[in-house]
Amino acid sequence: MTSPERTITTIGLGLRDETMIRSLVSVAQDRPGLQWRFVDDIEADVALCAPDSALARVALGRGRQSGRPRCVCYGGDDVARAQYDAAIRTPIRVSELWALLDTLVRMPDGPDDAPVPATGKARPDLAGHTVAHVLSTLVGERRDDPERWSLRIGAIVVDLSMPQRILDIVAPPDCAFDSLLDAACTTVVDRVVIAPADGPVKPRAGMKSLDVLLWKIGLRQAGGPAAVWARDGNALRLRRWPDFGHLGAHRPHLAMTSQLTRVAMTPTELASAVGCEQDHVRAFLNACALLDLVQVEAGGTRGGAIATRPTGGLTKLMRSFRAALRMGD
Amino acid sequence: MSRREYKLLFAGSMGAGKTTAIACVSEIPPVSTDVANTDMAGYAKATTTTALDYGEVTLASGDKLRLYGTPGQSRFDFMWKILGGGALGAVILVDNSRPDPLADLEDYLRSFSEIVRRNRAVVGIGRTETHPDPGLDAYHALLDRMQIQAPLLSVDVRRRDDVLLLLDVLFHQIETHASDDASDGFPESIA
Repeated sequence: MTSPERTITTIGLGLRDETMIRSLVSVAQDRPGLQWRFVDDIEADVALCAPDSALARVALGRGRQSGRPRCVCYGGDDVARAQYDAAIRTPIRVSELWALLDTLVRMPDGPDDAPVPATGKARPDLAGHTVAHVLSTLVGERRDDPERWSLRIGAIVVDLSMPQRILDIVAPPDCAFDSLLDAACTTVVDRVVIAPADGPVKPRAGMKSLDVLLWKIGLRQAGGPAAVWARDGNALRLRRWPDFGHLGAHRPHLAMTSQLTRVAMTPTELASAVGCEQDHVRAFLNACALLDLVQVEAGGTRGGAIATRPTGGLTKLMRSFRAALRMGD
Repeated sequence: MSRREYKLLFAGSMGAGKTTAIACVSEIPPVSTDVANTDMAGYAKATTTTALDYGEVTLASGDKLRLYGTPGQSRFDFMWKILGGGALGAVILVDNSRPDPLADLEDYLRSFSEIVRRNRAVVGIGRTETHPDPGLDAYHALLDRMQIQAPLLSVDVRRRDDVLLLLDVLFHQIETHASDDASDGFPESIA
């Protein structure tokens, strides 16, 4: 019995990218499970689209009407990606491509097939945006109402309780947190619905932390949607410490937080102050921004002198404390 | 050659985990002075620390890092200020299962106000998994109202890594804020 087959095409990609995708599909024939076949047909199951292609817009329209093809934004910026069923950054990673395709084919055929609440109010302003954008918007609204938010992200349906900052993966039933994280980094949100809840959600085993999801999304996307650090001349500060007991801690994050809760700095100054690569600084700032912890001090106002990297006796003493306590590096 | 001594304080209400936290990191079994708990209505614990817990860590240089846990019962609050004197920093532990943990924290922030305002304190909130209310937002609102900024972390002090995290945060704060207080030297010895 042959494995089920799905078709994939490219629209508007350059010859080199199209050839690469054809090759990847060809060599994956021995991959277990669902088989993929490359076709030169807009009516494929999945279309990888160059966002600036006129034919991609045609494909998008067809996809919205009939559910085929599922359109994936190939590269592009946040504005372009928001219009598509999913997005993949370039240069692509093979594992990400297959994870994305596996997620896409499990999506219901129509927007009304997902198990979302029967009653409730839709938030069309949030549909079609990246998961990071949707979640950080909800966090920023700081809603304390005991409502249940239902999000559909590709084939995954997630219920959120904002006051308690917990999420429950409703569908598929065997969906792991890491799969949600992968989807959250590659797929836009199809639908957001708010339903009234009878009081606070009762935490139970299996529920996950919204903050942990946002933190991990942020750390993966150094140049992501919350890139407030990108504006020249702005110094940034943190309005409070992240809860590292809950999120997990890396020592550079502690050093950066200690600096940024004391005085505002540009990312370059922060990297210098803590002796860290700028990419790590950006990832940290992105994660903090998704948790709504970053304040922008326009024009570079600081509120204090920048502390130089501690040296000499004090650093030596703290290092000796850490060594004696076997804290590691 | 005289050895230097440095002091860290572990403060918090009864049952918040001070003795446990010190035991996690001390190289000697903590010395505890326990007596019968006279507040059984408030907390179902047979014994409590009357004066202090003590633990220590020896540095590579031979100097000592001394760890003191304050008595949690309010009738011993006169000890808090005595113990706080000369401390390099403080770990304040809160038990989120208590009737009013926010009030508990406010008491300790006021009692150790000098250390807190010099940014040499870290707050660990325990039992948040079984008692999620009040949430950390409520604690941050308290700090804002008191015009204090301090690291707030949810922890389980039965886990050594969580205790080390609290201390690592404290050490970073000490390093970062050292330049803020020009008159600040290191408390070199304990009276």
